[in-house]
Amino acid sequence: MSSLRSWILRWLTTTNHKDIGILYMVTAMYFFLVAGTLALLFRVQLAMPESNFLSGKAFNQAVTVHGLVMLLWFLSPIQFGLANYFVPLQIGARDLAFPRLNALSYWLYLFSGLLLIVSFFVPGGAVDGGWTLYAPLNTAAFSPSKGFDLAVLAIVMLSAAITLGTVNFMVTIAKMRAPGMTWDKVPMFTWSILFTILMMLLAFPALAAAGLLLLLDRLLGTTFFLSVEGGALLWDHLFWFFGHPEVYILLFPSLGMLADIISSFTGRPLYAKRFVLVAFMAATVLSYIVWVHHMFITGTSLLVRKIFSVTTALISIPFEMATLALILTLYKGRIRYTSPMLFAIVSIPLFIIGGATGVFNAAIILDRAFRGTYWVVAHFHYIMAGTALFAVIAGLYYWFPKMTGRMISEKLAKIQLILAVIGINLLYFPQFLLIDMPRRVFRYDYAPEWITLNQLSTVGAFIFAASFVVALIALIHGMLRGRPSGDNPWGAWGLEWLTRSPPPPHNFDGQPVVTRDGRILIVPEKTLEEQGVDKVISGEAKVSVTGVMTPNGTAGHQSPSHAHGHAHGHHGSMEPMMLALGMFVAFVAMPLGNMALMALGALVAFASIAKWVLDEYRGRFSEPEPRYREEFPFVGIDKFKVGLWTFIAGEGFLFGSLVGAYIFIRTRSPAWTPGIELHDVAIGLFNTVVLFTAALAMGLAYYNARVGNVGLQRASLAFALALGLLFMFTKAYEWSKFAAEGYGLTSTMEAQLYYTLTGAHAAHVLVGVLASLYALARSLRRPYGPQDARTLLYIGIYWGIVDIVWTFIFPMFYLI
Amino acid sequence: MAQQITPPDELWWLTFNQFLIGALVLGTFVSIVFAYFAIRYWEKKVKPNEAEVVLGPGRVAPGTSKIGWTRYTLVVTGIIVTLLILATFPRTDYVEASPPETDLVIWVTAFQFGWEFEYPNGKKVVNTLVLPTDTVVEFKVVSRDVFHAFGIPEIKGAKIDAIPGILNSLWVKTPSEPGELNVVCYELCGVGHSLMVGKIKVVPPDEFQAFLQST
Ligand code: HEM
Ligand SMILES: [Cu+2]
Ligand SMILES: [Cu+2]
Repeated sequence: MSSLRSWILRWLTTTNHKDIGILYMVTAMYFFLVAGTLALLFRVQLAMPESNFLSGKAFNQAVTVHGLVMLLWFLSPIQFGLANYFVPLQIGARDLAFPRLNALSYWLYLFSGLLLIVSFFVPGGAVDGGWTLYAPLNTAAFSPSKGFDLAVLAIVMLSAAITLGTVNFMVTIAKMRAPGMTWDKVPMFTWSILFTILMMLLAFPALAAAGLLLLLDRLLGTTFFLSVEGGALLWDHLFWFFGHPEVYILLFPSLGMLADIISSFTGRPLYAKRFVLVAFMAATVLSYIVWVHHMFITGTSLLVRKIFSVTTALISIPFEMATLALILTLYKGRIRYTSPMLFAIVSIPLFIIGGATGVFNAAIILDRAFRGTYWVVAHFHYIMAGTALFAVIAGLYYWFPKMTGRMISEKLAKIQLILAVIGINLLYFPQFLLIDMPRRVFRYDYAPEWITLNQLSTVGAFIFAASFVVALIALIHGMLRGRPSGDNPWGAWGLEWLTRSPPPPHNFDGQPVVTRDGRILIVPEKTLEEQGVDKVISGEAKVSVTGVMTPNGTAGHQSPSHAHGHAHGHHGSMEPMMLALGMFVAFVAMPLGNMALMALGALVAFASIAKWVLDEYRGRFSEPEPRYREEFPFVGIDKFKVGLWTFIAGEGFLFGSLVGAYIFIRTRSPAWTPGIELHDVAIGLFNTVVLFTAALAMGLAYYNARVGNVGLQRASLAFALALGLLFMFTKAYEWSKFAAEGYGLTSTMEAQLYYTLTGAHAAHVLVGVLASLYALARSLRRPYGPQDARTLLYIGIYWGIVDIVWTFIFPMFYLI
Repeated sequence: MAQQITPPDELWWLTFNQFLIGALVLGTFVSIVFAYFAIRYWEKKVKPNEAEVVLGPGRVAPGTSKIGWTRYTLVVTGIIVTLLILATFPRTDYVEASPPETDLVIWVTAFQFGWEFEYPNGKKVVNTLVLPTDTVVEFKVVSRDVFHAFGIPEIKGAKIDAIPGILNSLWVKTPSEPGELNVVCYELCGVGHSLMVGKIKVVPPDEFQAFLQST
C-alpha cells in the first residue's frame, strides 16, 4: 500500500527530465487515443453520403477536437516527451536547466488537454468551429457553447506551458552541453529541437494573443472578432502567423530524429550536415513569412499574395534539401533494417508526396481549387500523420531499449509497419482525388462520385487504426516481456548510448567529454580535475575512461555504487502539479460562472506559487552546477540570464501581436478618435515618469548590492516597490475615470484596445511589483551581496522591458 | 460573344498538369535514387569494400565532412520548383483580374445557411441560380454573418471567400452545354455548413432571358 502511495507520489512530484519525458509520452498517447477515436467516428459517418450516425453538431465537434488534440496535445507533446528524455542525454547534461519549471510545463500541458476534453460535458458541448477556429463564428454571438470557452482557455494555458518549455530547452541546449560538445557536434535531434523552440517562441505568443482577445470577446463582451475592422481577417492573420510555423514545429523534431536514426543504422554521418543546418535555419526564418498562403482566396491584394507565393516556394527548398540529404546519407552505408530504421525509411516517400503537393498549393492559381478541400487534408496528413508520426514511432522504438532496458518485438513492429503503410495510403491517397469535396461536411448526397473514394478512405482509417493497436501491444509487450537490451543494442552512436538502460537519475557515471576527433569519454570527476578539461578534449590527456565500448556494444562502465560524480538530488515538488490543477479548476469554473469554484482554484494556484517562491527564498533548491561547455553566442552569460531573455522575447512577441492587432484594426477603421482627445496626457506622462523611475530604483538597488551598501539597497528596493504600486493606483484611477465618462470595456473600439493593451501591460507591472516585494523581503532578511546581486539585475531588466513596452503603448493611446 | 475568352478553369488544368508532370518527373527520379541506395547498401547486399562505416558506438557524428561541390545539387529541385511557381504568375494575373469582358454580374450573399443571388435587374433568388450557357459571369461575393466560402465544385478554381464586411469577386465562363452545377460552402460556418448546397441551372440563352423577365 505505502509503496503504491510512494509510486504515485513520485510521479506527481517528479522533476527529473526522464520521468517527465515519460509522463509526456504516456499523456500524449492517451490524447492520441481520444483524437484517433474521434477520427474513426467521423470516418464512419463519411462512409455514406447521407448517414445519420453523427449529427451535424457532433460531427463538427469531432473534427474540431480531433484536429486540435492531434496537433497541440499529441504530436508536439510526444516529440517533446522524447526531447525531455533525450536532449539532456544527447548533450551530456544531468537534467534540463530548470527542472521544476519543466514539471510545471508538463502539468499545464496535461490539465490544458483535460480542459478541452471536459468541454464535451458542459452546456453546449465541445468546441465545433474547426481547429482553425475562424472568426466571427468563434464569437459568443454565433457559438455560445461553454465548451468553446474552455477550448480557448485550454489553448491559452497550453501556450503558457510551451513558452516555459522553450525557455527551458533554450537554456539547456545553449548552456549545458558537455565539454567538447561544440555546436557542430550537437546531434540533429537536439538541433531540431533548438530550431523548433525558436519557432515556438514567436508563434505561440501570437496564438496566445489571439486567444486572449477571443476570450475578452467571449467572456467580457468586446468585439475584436465580431467587428468589421478586426473580424475575420484579424483572426486569420493572427492565427496563421501562429499556424504556419506550427506545422514546421510539428515536423522539425521528426526530421531531427530521422537524421539521427538513419545515421545510426547506416554508420554514416548525415550528408552535408552543415548545409542542412543552414537549410533548417532558413526554414525557421522563412516560416514566419509564408502565412498568407492560407489566405489565398480571402481577397488580399494580389501583390501581397504573390510575394507570399514566392516565399512559400522558397521555403520548400530547405525541405527538399533535408529529404535529399537523408537519402544521400544511405550512400556508402551499411544499412541495417531494424524496426526503427524501417519506420524511418518509410517516412521519406511519404514526405516526398506531402511535400510535392505542398508546392502545388503554393501556386495561387491552383490553390483556388484546393482551398478548403480534401486535397489539403491529404497534403498535410501525408506529412503529419505520415512523415512526422512515422518518425516519432521510429524514435520511440529506437530509444525504447534505452528507456526500459528491453527490446520491442521486431515481429510486432513489422506487422504494425505493414498495416500502417497500407492504412495511411488507403486513407489519404483517395483524398487527393476528392479534390472538389469540401472539408468538414458530414453529408454529400449531391455528389455520388465521392462515395467510393470516401469508403476507401474509411477502410484505410480502420487499417491505420489497427496498426496502432498493434503498436500498443508491442509497447506493452516490450515493457513487460521484451528481451533485455543491454546498454547499446543497436550499436548506435551518440552519448545517450554510453549509459545504462534505463539511465541512472544523474544520467552518466562520470562527466561526459567529447574529444576533438569525436570520441566520447565518460571521465571520472577526479581524473578531469587532475588532467584538465582541455587536455581531455584535445586527446592529450591519458584518462582511464569508464564509457568505452566493448566490441559487443555494451558499455563497460563501473559499478554504479562508486561511480556517482555528483549525487543528483532527486527533489520532489508538489507545487507545479497543484498550480496547474488550481488553474484547471478556475478555468472550468470561469465560463460556467461558478464564482466559488473559481475562487477555490485561484486560491490553490496562488498558494502553490507562494510556496514555490518561499522555497526559492529559503534556497532549498540551490545545487552546484557541473561543468558545461560555453560557446558563442552564450559565453559568460549565466543560465538565468539566457532564460530571462528567452522569456522576455516571448513576452515581447505577445505584445508585438497585440500591437499588430491594434495597427490592423486602426488602419481598417474609417474614423478614429486620437488618444489625445480621449485621455489626460498629464496623467499618462506622470505614470511614464513613475515607471521609469522604478526601473532606475531597481538599478540602484543592484548597484548598492554590488558595493555592499545594505541601507541604500533596502531603500532603493522599497522605493521601486512604492513606485510600482503608485503606477498601479494611478492606472486604476485612470480606468475608473474613463469608464465613468461612458467609455466602458465594451464601448468603442478605441476603448476596447485601450483597456486590453494597458491591461496587459499593467499585469506585467503587477508581476514586477511582486518581484520587488520578494526582493525587499529577502533583502530585509538576508541582504543581497555581490555574489547574488544578479537577482536584482534580473528584476531590473524585467522592469526595463516593462518600460520599453510602455514607450510603445504611451504614444499609441495618449498621443496619436 | 464570349467564345474567344479562355475560361479560368482551362488555365487551371493546364497549370495543374504542368505541376503534375514536374512532380512526377522529379519525384520519380528522387524515388529511384532512394530505392537504389536503400537496396544497394543493405547490409545483406553491400560488399565489405563498398561500405564506409565511420560512425559507431562511443562517437558523435562530426560536423564537417568532405563532400565538395556535390552538396550544391541539393538545391536544384528547389530552384526548379520556384521557377515553376514564378511561371504561373501571368496566368494568375489573368484569372485574378476582372474578366476581359463581362456578360453578367451576379451578387452573391452567403448566410447561415444558404445563398442569396441577385441579378442585375434586381431579381433575387435563394439557393437556385439560373445562368445562360457559354457566358462570362462575374460573381460579387459577400457574407451576411460569418466566414463562408463560395465555390462551384464542377469548375476548377471557381472559389472565393465570403467574409463579412469584405467584397470579393470571381469570374467563370459557364459551360457550353445546358446542365446543372452545385454551389458549395468551403469554409466551416456552423452546424448547417454541410447543408449549404445550392444549384446552378445552366440553360440556353433564350430560356435564361425568359427566366430573368419572369417574377
Ligand atoms: C514543401 C513544403 C510545403 C509547402 C510549399 C506547403 C504549402 C502549403 C499551402 C500553400 C497550404 C495552404 C493550402 C490551402 O489551405 O489552400 C498548406 C496547407 C497546410 N500545410 Fe503545407 N506546405 C508544405 C509543407 C508542409 C508541412 C511540412 C506541413 C506539416 C508538418 C504542412 C502542413 C500543412 C497544414 C496543416 C495545412 C493546412 C492547414 C489547414 O487549412 O487546416 N505543410 N501547405
Ligand atoms: Cu502554411
Ligand atoms: Cu459553410
